[in-house]
Amino acid sequence: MKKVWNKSLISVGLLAIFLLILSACSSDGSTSEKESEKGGDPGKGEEVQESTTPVTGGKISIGLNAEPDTLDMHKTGMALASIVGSNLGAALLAVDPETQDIKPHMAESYEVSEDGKTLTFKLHSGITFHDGTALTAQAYKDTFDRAMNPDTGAVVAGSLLSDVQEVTAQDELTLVIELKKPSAPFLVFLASGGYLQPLSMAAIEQHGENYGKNPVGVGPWKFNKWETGQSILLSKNEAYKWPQYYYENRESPYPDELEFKFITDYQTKLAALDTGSIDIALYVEAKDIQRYRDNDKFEVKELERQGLGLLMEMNTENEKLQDPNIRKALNMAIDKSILVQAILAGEGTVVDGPLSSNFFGYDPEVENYGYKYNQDEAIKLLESSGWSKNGKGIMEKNGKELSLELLTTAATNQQAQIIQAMTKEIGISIEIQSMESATLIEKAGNGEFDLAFLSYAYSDPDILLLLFHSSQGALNHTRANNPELDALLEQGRTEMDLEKRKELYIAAQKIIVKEAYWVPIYTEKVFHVINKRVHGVKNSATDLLFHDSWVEQ
Amino acid sequence: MVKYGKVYRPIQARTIHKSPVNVGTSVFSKIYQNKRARYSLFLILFIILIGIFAPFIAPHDPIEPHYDALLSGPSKEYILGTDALGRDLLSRLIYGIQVTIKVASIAVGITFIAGTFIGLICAYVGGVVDNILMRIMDVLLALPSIVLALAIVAILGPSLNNAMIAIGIASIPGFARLTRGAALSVKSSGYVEASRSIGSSHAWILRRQFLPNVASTVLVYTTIFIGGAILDTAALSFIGLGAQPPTPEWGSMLNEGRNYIYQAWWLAIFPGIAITVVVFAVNYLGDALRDIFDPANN
Amino acid sequence: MGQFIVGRILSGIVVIFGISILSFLLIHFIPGDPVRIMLGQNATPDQIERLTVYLGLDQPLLVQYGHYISNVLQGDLGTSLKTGQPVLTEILDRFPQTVKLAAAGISFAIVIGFTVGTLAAKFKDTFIDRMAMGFAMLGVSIPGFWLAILLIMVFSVKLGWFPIAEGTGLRDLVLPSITLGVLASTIISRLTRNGMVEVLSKDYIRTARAKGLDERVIIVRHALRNVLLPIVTVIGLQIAGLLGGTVILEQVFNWPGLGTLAIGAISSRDFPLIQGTVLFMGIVYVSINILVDISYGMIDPRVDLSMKEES
Repeated sequence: MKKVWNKSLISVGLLAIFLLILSACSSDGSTSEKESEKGGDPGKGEEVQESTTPVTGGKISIGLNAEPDTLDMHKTGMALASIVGSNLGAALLAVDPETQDIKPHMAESYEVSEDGKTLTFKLHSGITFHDGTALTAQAYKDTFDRAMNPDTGAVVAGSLLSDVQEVTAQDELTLVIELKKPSAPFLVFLASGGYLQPLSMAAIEQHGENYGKNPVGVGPWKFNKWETGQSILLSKNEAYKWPQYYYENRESPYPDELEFKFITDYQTKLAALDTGSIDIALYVEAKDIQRYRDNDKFEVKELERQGLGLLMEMNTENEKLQDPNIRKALNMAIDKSILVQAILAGEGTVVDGPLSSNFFGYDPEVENYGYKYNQDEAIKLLESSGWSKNGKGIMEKNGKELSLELLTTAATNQQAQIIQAMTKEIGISIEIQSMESATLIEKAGNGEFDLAFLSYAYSDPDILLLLFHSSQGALNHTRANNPELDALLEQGRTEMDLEKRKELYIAAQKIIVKEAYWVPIYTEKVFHVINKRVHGVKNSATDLLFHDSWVEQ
Repeated sequence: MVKYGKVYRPIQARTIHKSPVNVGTSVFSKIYQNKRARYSLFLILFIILIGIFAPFIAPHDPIEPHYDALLSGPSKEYILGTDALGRDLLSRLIYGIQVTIKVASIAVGITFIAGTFIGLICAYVGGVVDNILMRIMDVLLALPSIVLALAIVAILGPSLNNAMIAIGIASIPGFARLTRGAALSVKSSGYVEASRSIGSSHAWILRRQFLPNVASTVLVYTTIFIGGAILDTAALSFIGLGAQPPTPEWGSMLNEGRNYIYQAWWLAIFPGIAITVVVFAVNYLGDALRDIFDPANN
Repeated sequence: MGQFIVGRILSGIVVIFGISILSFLLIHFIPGDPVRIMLGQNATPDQIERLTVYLGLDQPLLVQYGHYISNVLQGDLGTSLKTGQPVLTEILDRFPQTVKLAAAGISFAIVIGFTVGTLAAKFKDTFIDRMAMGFAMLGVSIPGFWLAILLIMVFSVKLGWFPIAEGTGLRDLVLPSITLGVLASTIISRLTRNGMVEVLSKDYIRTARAKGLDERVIIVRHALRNVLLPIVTVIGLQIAGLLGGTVILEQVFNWPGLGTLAIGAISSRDFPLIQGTVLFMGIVYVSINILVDISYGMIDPRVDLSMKEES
């Protein structure tokens, strides 16, 4: 009897060793081999990987471009911090990755009043923060109140809540938000699991100044540790039972740990991905994508750029640029398709108007009425304004050369150099000034510029108010001052009827193009590259979705 | 006072003069007679000439993009290949010599003028002035020169000119200390004391005895500092705090180029070779000069 | 001896005092209003006012320095504007990594320097000597960041031997410390060569050779031992110098040390952190120098410990 038992023990042991070897082979062996093994399974084709059963345990490692300043979602203004933070928390609402419909998430249900100013949310019961305190309507109220308190210094979170009049907790699970005026984009804000997630007030009280390094949320991942300069480690929240409705996994995450490694240097990030130090590299540049597409070990996720791609602002109060002819000439001088080719390896779209095509309210007609690349026409425009080429081939008027300064950051230096070469051909000389993005925004805001690059990650046409409204536009760097445009943008913000809202923005786009306030250039695609040992990463049009992900071990 | 120099500065220890050196035509013949000095000098002059005549030598405009030849490898048309904007790498390297010459003359010029001045004052005047100035130099020496340069750039903002100024300033303390050491050895030599005892004026002594005899040593140091200045400027440009595009500075070219390691190895290789060759030649010359002027070293 | 140590420490304190003035003044050299630059364009007058008062910039310079130095003496280097953490905490978090890197770098420098120097001396005035000295000079002529890129290209990306941005373990240490080692080996190579050439011509080596001892034994047992002392001193000083060398390399190798901290602070205009890093690096440098001087004085009785000014 004993002997038999021993034998079976040995065979189990052998089996275990065999499996171990097998798994070792599959984890570092090439994926193509594995796929051919499973080739006998007909009709599945490329979906083979997706259909394998998820395995729990292991760690997914993601490369981040920089170290977040803090994980206190109210105090940070860094998008990177919200990328990490969104894993720690969850939002009231969720946006469907395919239809863009807004559905409840932390809320069980929600209602919007007739006038669009009162929003009532019914929360799920039984949700707890990582520290054990319950998620109640009061907790939400306290969180939002903290974000709206100017002393907190919540730059981003505060501005997302700027239309809020008052937040009240009607009972334990009923949250009421009163708005100052109806706001079309507000529901989308509430789906932001990063900035507008509920925070544990108990933890904030306990850690005080250090809360940013000890964040406590309700999300699928718990904060574990922060190695300064290296990484942030999250471990799975076993108690998490409420993923967004579109996930297959209805429980806590499959892997044990989620790690974010700070890799400032882009090239080092790619090397880290190639050598397996990280599983996922976010924001891989278009020029490197073909290499990963050709490599079986990696999966490339191709997403749309959220918000505006690259555009060149022009200061309309500038002595030279106040002449619309010069602004139009600049629009015609730049061959955008070459920029898309040279910078984006063709992985992007030329943009003719102020909005890119994935915006609500985008006017497809702009492809007809937007400015087209035409050097001769551009030169004619300049000549009609009294400029003529001098001996150096630069446009000159009254002894003054047509030279402008272009502000850029290091990331868009190449784009600047191409534009510099292109405008030189019509006789406009550009001098490039490269600086940190904070400095650039400051200079552009103060009007200390001729030309400046800008891109902006926000996909509601309401962004045009921010950029062109003569008095309310915080980013009205171009100094646009057009009452008709102002009125359209104000109406667009409060109009709840989608068709009417669309009409308003189409009218606004026409004005902006006519006035040539800026040179829209392109929208790029966004690429994330994933090592295939990580399975089940989904994506919406703009984000990666991790809750169904699991990792081979 | 505490002795720094003698205890741990081997370069200085080796270059302190035991006897005055005669500076004049014989210097050039000495340099010419030294094979190492001659070869490196020829190489440096050759590179400088290419830089000066860049417009005639470079096959293309260094900042003109060729959109039909983005990231194309070395070929007949583009001998060392092109960069991401289709600019000819060889032409950019050739024009880059001009930038390097500018860096070498301005950054090292600042170091040379201020460093020699402070060093000579300290050695000649001595006493409290020496003490105070040297303490200040000690403070600045306590920071690695690249850190000091980074701090200065942080204040002035990133640009090639600011980087040159920062590196020039950051090297002053080291240079001043070395010059002072050399000058002290001249001062203590018998003939200066003799001149003084017969009532020669300070100006006369400085001009006729002091400077000529310190000059050769200072020349050696200057050469050595040029190599360092070129490397530091390239390093600052490499991390984006120095030269700004489209300036064809070699460090910033490496910075741009390394993003294309996979697509275009030539962009990450040739600018690095250019820097190394130039700095190597300058250092080699400095070494040879040191041997020529410092018999104690042989 | 005691007098020497006390004097050395005192003068070190004077220098550190000077560094504190330098790091303090840093913020005042910024053209324009530093507070405005730190807070950016969206700052309200109220925020500007508060930060100005917080930084004490509304007071006379001397008073400000008084506050600054008394805070520093209490270990308070201010608060990072970016993370809100105490500057000292940020620095101390990173410092061990830089020490680790510098120590590994100096180890490689010793290995490379001894090997190259001994080879050159052994084959004095031959092709090998010239090659070895040429290699030594390469160490001060090659841009460190470029060497780093080349090593990464070959050993990480092509061959996959060493990981990149994996962590701070032993395997991660190899490439950065080889790079540092090559850069710092030059002076060790040269001193080893010169010392060796001198020692190898000494009588006792000739005796050893005449006795028919193995050449390797002669070099390692007899010769190397005698050239060690001056080299050890240089190595001590190189450690301090290496702190500077790590700054740029840390950036390339994604090493979480003081260098990446400093460069990050500069690009985010986190002036308290820049000030703190400068002060801290200065103090470390001065302390190492003092230690080296003192230990050198203790090891070698021939060192003149008198306090006279050299001339």
